[in-house]
Amino acid sequence: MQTQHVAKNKILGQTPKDPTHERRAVDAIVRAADEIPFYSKRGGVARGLTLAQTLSSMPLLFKKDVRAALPKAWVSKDRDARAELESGALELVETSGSTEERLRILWDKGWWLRQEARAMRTNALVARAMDSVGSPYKEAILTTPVCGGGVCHTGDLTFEERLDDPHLFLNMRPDPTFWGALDMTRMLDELARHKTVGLEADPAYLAALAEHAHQHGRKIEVGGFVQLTYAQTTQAHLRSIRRAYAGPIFQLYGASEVGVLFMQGEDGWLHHAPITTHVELLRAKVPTPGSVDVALVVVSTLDRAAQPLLRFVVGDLVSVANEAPARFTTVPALRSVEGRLQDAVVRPDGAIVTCAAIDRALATIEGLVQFQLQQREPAAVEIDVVSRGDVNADVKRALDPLLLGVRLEVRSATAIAAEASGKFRVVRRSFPIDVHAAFEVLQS
Amino acid sequence: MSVDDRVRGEFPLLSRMLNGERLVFLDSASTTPKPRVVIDAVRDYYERVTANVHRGVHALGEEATDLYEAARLEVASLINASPSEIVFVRGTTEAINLVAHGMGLGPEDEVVFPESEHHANWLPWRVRARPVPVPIDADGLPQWDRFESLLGPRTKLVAVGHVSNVTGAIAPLARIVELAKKKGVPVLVDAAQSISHLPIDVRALGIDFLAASSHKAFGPSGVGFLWAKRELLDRLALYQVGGGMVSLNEELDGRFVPRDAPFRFEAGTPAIEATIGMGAAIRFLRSIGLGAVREHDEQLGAYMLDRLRKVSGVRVLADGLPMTERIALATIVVDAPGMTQENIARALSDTFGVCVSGGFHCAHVLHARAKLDGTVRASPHVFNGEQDVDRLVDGLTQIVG
Repeated sequence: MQTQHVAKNKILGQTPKDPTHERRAVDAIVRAADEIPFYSKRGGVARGLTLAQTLSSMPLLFKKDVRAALPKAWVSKDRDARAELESGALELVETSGSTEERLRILWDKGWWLRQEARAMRTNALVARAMDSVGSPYKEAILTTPVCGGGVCHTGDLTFEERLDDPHLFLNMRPDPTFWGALDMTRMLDELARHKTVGLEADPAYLAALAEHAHQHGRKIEVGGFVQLTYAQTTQAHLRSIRRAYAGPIFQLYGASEVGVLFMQGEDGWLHHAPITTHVELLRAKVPTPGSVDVALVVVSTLDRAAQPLLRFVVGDLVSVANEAPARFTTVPALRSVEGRLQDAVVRPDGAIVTCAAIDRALATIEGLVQFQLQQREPAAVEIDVVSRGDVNADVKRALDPLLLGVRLEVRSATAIAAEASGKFRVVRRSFPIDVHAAFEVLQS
Repeated sequence: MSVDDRVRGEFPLLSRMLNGERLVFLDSASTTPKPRVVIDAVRDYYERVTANVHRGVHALGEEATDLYEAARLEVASLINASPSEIVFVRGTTEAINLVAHGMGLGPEDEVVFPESEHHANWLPWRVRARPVPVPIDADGLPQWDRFESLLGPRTKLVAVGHVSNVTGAIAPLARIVELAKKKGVPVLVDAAQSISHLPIDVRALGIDFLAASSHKAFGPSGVGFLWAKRELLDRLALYQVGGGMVSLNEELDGRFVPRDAPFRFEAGTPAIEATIGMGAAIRFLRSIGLGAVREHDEQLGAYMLDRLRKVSGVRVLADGLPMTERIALATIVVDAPGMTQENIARALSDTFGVCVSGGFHCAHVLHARAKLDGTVRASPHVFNGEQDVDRLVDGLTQIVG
């Protein structure tokens, strides 16, 4: 990440509200619809409309639609996708996830790092940590080294080989179940050696490391902040992390396809990151027990020349914080990220129980370390539980009220499997849900 | 409803007739029948997935890998281990051979194990090290009071069958581990016979290696697993090399970097469908609950021993061993003039529809020490009830009579 190239605000740590957000959004959408073959083949978008009118004139864009198109459909006709990919001006990125989730995405060179740094800086504390004079910003990254469909690493690498200053990549194993005590101690040592200011971590990975640190009387040595991203953070993750780290923790929520969408502010709310996207929050039409103001995230990218995505259904659910101010754009702030729609439990009565709702219901079960629900059919859910001590009865008691009409079986497990992507899922549902039936979709 | 009544219908094999008689399957120590969920899991893989694991980046390859790795989790949870400590192999025999090879034993290195062991836990030590057997008595039971004296400075491993495949005796693992640890000797447990009968917690037991097969635990043949403590797995020499176990192979300098355990020991395309079936079998077993299995085992075992010992001309091996120290398994010597023990087992099958084992059960030394020219072994499991034992006893009574 070339953070030094990101223009700093005049007042350190403050990002202004963007008064042009909606106009910029309309312009970007109209431009993309005109210039990008994928959209222009479907017919352009009328000009002179409001943002809401513009959006409602377009269909939702699903991952299967994006997957079906080759890279050349996603760049304007005056660009040569093949040549730009060869020169590195364009990057082809494989997103993670199952086959239904995975996409190949084009990024303009440097786009990800630019927009990520911009989003992080919307949090004043993070911005100050990144800009500290006299002590250079050092970041460590703790996630899987698995990329795309294969394992990227080839044997163990030295500290120097994993250092792309100011970034240090800590992990060399496919997922934390492969960590031994030596791996974890090395990572703790390296956090200190790197003089880490910011740690960007998958919560499941950091939780495992924090448990090891706690058991050995160590701390997660991070001078500035921890930023949790890549996957859903559970209460159990936070409990584990807090055993070994007392500093500020923020959530950063985004997706490889569209960039960072929301960054948690010092006030605790997740605020929409300006410039990069416009976000529609489609309210749920069905009950969402355990969660309030649940919405489905739909994104239009505004700063992508290659592969702009318009009304793209990211597939995540969030809880909208109506009481919080919209800080940087007109997009409302969020109370929480509720997990993927694909991973929510759908009851026989149509109600959606989000990953976060399930996690909140289990939050007070002290011995609970990790869990995963499987819903293979509408009326039955199985939950695998990794715990200290037997908590199965507590888990059943906590979840039964949320899962009305669903038969719940609780099983003890020694571990939860990571996906091929190295990420952990809280819920796996094996049947689809109709988005149009469950959410209020803006349509003309 | 008793547990056997609850689960019997899950086994298609048990509805088969044998020469006009309802099949009574009492040979689970050889291999267990397979429940419908295991058959479905294997068929589903063929019909819906069929792809290699850890290689294909296409959808089917990912699904196959998911199913395959889910089996590793089931195994890990069954024995309270980490999935990264579970190596898939062809079965218990290969697991023990992997350890025997991987430890780099030499002819002067001693391995202590009971004389009653199955060949799978005898021959690897005979071939690669110096075997030091714990003597057994006339009933084939190890004389554990002599065990400690056999541990010496050259002892590199203690290898013990958790449950004897001949007597059904449960080894006193806690005491064995305590004595071995006092001498700093690692302990390998052959769990082929115990994995589907007894709750096993490798951490609580304090053991170092555990080997088991799928086919004696309701899963398909041709697959099993080795569990080892992570640090021991990291030290074991590679048993075989090839595709899938390497993360880097450099042509010029001849260097190659194996993947992390367990994958470093899983060269070549594995028994994918069998492994997936093993995962389904363990799910099935866990859904019944090992506690319930053990309870059923003790009740049915007591009933079986009680009925067998009342048949004149039948001698039960290790008859005095209480049910708390054995599983529901009875090895008997049947006195039927002119008939070998194999003849008797065959007659039980052909005439009464009762399937049992007859012969030496891969334990030649035990039979030699006990001066037995073969035995008949009845080994019920959770799907068997008293009516099955009654059929066995009726058959034996008629044969002996």
